[in-house]
Amino acid sequence: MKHLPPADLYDRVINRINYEHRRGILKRSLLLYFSGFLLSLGTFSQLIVKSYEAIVRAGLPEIFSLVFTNFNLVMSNISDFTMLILESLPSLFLALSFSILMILIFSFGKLFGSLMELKTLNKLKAN
Amino acid sequence: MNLKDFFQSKQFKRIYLTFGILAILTLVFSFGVFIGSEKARFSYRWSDNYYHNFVEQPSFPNQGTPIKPHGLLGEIIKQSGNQFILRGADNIEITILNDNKTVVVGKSGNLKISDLKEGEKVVVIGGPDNQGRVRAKLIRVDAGFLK
Repeated sequence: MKHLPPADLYDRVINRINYEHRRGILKRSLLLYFSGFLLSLGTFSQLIVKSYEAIVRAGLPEIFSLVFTNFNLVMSNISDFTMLILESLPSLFLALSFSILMILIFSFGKLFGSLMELKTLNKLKAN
Repeated sequence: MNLKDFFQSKQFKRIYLTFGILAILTLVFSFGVFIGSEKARFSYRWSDNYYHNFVEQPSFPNQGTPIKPHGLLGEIIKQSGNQFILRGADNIEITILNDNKTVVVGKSGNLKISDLKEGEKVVVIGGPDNQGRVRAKLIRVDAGFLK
C-alpha cells in the first residue's frame, strides 16, 4: 500500500514556518519593549523623586499657595509672580521627566501591542 | 473602551503629543537658563577677579547659587526702617526694600511693614532694582508652611 501525504501538508508546513518566524520576531520585540519599559519605569520613578525634592527645595509649593490665599494680590503682580515661578522651576528635571515619560508610554504601548499580537497568533494556531 | 482602543485613539495621540511639547519646551527653557546662568557666573567671576587685582577685598560670598531677583522665601534677620535683610536658601542674604505700595499679608489680614519682626519667615514677591536689592510688592508672612 502506497502512503500519500495529506493534501494540505504543504500549507500546514508553510503556515507553521510563518508562525514560528512571526513568533520569534514578537518574542524579540517583547523582550526589547519589556526592557525599555522596565528601564524607563526605573528612571522615571527616580526622576519623579528628584523633581519633587527640587520643587520643594525651590519653595514652589509655598509660592503656589499664594494663589489660593492671596489670589487678587498675585493677579495684580502676575508678571513678577510668573518670573518667580520660572526662576524657581527645576526645568532640567522636568524636561527629563517628560522625555522619559514619553519613552515609558511608548514602550508600554508597544509592549501591549506585541502581547495582543502574540495572543492573536496563538489563538490562530489553536484553531 | 479597552486599552487596545485607547492606545489607537486620537485622545491618546493628543496626550502623547502634549507630553512631547512639554518635554521640548522645558528642555529649551532649561537650555536657556543654563546659558544665562553661565553668562552671569562668568560676569561676576570676571568682576570679582578684576577688582582683586587692584583692591584687597573679599570674594563674593555666593559663588554658585543663582539669586532669584523676583522673589524669595526666607527668614528676616535684620529689620531697619523701610528695608530688611532676608536670609534665603543656601544662606544667601538679600536686602528687601519696602515702599508705600508694598502689601504685607499676615495670618489675620494686612499688616504694616513695621509689624514685621526679626526671625519671622516670609515669602516675598517683587522685582530687582539696580543695586542688587529686591523691591517688594507682596510680602506674605509665613502661615506655618516654611521650614
